[in-house]
Amino acid sequence: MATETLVDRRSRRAPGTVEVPRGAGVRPGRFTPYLFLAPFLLVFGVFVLAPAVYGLWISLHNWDFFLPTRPWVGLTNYLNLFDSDNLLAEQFWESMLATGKFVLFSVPLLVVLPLGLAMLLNRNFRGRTAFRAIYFAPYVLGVSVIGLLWQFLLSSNVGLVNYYLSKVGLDEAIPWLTALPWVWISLVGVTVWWTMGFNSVVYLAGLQGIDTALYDAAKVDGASRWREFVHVTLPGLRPVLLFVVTMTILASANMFGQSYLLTAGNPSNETRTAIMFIAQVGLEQFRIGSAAAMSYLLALLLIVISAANFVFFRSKEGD
Amino acid sequence: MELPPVTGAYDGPPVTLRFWNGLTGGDGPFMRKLLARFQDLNPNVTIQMYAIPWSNFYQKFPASVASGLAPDFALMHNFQVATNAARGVIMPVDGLVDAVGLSEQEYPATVWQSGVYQNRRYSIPLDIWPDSLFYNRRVLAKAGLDPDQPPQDAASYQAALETLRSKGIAGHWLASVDPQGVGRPFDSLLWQHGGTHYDADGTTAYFTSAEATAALKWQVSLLEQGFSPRNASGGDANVAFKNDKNAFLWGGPGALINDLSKVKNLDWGVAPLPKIGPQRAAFAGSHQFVIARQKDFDPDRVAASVAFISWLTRNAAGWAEAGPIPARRSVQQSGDFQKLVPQAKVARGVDFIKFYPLIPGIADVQLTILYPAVSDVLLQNSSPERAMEAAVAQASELLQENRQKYEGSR
Amino acid sequence: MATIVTAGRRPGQGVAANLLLYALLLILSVIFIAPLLWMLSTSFKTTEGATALPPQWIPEEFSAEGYTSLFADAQAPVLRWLFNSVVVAVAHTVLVLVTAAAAAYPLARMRFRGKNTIFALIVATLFVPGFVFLMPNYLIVESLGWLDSKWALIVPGAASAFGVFFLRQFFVSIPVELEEAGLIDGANRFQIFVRIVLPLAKAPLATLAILSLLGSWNDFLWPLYVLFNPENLTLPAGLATLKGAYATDYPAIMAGAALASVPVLIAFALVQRYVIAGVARSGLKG
Repeated sequence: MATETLVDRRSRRAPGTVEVPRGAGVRPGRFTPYLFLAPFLLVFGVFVLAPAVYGLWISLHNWDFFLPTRPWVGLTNYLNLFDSDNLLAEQFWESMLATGKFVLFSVPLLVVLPLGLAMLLNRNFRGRTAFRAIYFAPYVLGVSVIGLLWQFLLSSNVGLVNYYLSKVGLDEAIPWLTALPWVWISLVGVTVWWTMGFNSVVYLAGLQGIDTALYDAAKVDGASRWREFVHVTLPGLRPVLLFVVTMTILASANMFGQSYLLTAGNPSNETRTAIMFIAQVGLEQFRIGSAAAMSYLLALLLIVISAANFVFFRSKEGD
Repeated sequence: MELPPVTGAYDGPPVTLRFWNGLTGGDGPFMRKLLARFQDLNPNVTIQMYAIPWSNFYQKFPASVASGLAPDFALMHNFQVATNAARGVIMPVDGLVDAVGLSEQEYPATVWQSGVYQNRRYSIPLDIWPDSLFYNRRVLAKAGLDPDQPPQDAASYQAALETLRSKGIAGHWLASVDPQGVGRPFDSLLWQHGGTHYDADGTTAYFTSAEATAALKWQVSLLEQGFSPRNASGGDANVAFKNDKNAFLWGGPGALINDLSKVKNLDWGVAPLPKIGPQRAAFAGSHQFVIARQKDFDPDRVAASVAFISWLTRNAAGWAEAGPIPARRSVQQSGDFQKLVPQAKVARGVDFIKFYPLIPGIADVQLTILYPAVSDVLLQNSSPERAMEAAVAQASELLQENRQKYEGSR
Repeated sequence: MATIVTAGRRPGQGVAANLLLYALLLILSVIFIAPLLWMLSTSFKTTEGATALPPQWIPEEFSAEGYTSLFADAQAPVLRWLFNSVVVAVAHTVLVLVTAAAAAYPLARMRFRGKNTIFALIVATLFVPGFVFLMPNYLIVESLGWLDSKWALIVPGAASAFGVFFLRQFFVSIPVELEEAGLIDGANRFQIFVRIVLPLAKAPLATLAILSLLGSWNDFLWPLYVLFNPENLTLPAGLATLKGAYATDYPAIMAGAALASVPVLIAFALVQRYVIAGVARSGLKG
């Protein structure tokens, strides 16, 4: 960048005016930094920090919206979730299983397929931008449009998908939205279709950041495509890969709209995800204490997974 | 806290009322038309109607009361009244009943009692929607059956389905997936076999009783005999019916009369549910008016709300155009109502209707435990015994939890 | 904006390879586009036409029934929902940009007490999944009297820890000399921030803006629960109600979906370069 060629014009100034130590920052007026920070900290304090603590507090109470008293119950809401005779626990773990399945099925596809797509798009050809935009387009539509649209396309009797399958000889109408294992195939498939473009674009940026000299060197060494991919592309993409994997796990664990709109949790709560169940318990049945406890448990689990993921990628860096 | 006294008519200063309901389907426009008529007669009352899908309504309504955003009055399902009464978000309306001159004799007993919780009345019934047998006349005729004589008992129903099957038609598409469509026919069959879902004080579930087993067995037999495709949803059954690929639909008049009337070239009829068990019975629901709890009541608003409720229940024949049967006997017998042919046919089943018991939280038990279990059986994910035993255990636990919770909040 | 470096590292691999590439890309395009065309086509059909087999990609009988029944429906003010969504997304994004940029600047450039603690707190929340805040924030929004209002959608999510982190990383990379020039001219910190720093940060700000817009636009769960009045709904929450209301009236449902999609797709087509560049950048600094 041109700015880097500017001469260092740093100079000492009298105390009390402005001091400019490089990198560490300029010493400002006493309140200036806080004034800059104030708007953010206000929103952050009220809607992030306060609720983080408040939620914990709620989870230690029998906090029913419509009960006159909200008695302290200590860890009961948490312990109940580990009591095998407890109905709520049974349903909660059923929903955790649903979320787990969705993460397990969707994340590998959402990590691998977009990478393939990004490598296709990373070539030099006419119409690249247009194709890129086309693959990204479903993402801007939002989950409700996606839900309405695929509800229709996947309908077992009047849906296009079954119609075209019958044209290629599959006469049995597949119950995409109503029966196992099809519900999972549908939810994962629709999610991949919907969000794949996003991950592809992130990968594409990563691919374009890889030094082309490395590829040239690999070519000189006579490396095969595959070795080139393993030894140049993947290492070059490591930070982007970490980002994509972490974000995709979080997004998949947050899955709500697809189930809510496409399967409504059917068949028999098989696809009712953890977020869906927590929202039902907390905001439909108003058992906010229990719901808060469940969200903390799930969050803890996700933080552990994210951390493990982070450590895994860091350890690979040393290889 | 009690409601201020009212008279059933309103001539005070202009007021604007907020009216919530879940009439988001074809029924909504009918209600709006009636609102307009009422406002013509009562220019000093403006009513803003907010239609929120029922599935969201029961989340938003209590929340709005708790947050001081409550509407003045609302429509609610009969099986949600006890729950919301126990939560304290709707008001007892005993005082209004006398003011508007409602009396027990005017209503079928089941309907009249459905608004009472712990000896106080919390709701005023507007309508009834008994599940009924909708039949596709063209499909019946094509199979050589008499389109004017839909089967009304177990034997003729079986015979009709066999005839249809011999012509390659699955005659009774059985909804196996979406809980609402799955559960209500099961309820009707259970009652037809003389069973009940719960004990009298609502703490034990009887889903494994002989009656429940018989009900489930009959439903499964439809699948086994090829009278229904497997894994069908309510929407599938509906679309198949409209496309002349399904002969029978079991469902409520509120949703179906309107929905089917809109389809061009569809030749259909409706009759009470066939008697599959030893006695007649049909699941029915009812829309009922409730008054939301407010921090302070404005007597004018309450009076105007009651004036509307009183007017509408009296003029419910107009509402019946949307599909449901008026709750008041006098309206059921009126010429205006009798002119509505399908509705009048549905009304013949009114004496056999059954409501869910008046237990707070009952809808949760039905919708989140019983219906998914029935669905599990129909989808063949689970054997009837296993599914129902698990459901009994879960339901009994939820019933007891609810009992503690709702009694605690009184 | 930096020019995108086209890799194209193996040019001229032969016509056959190119044809294969195009074929693959076109097949993929069909998979991505066909459902959207089907939505549009169905929205112009009669109810019978919508479920007719074989499917009619071009309606045999054109009908605007879907649109007219939707527009006549007081219960489904689709255009109102579109308007609400736009207002909420824009207001939310502006709030995110203003608060995050203002907060990121001192964290990058000034020394003050509590700086490390504040920054650590912000970074720590990056790893906390958002649904943890669902229950407590519902109660907080309720006690602020914000239920059923746009405030509930605009403000609570606006404290973007990612935004602060992302912008701070960028601000640190700006050569400090540029700001000193301003100091010498007698400008105060605020003026330097607005006149010098922000203009340099257009690209990362655009990235943050695009991510915030998309996030707000797609938000589904929260509006579903905090909004009551059908007229206050945003598109995602509103459209979800069509499914129940119109059951199998597919032309009306698809008309609703199309009304929600077409303006967005047109807007996307116009600014797709920026959207994609924005999203692309998000992964590089994270």
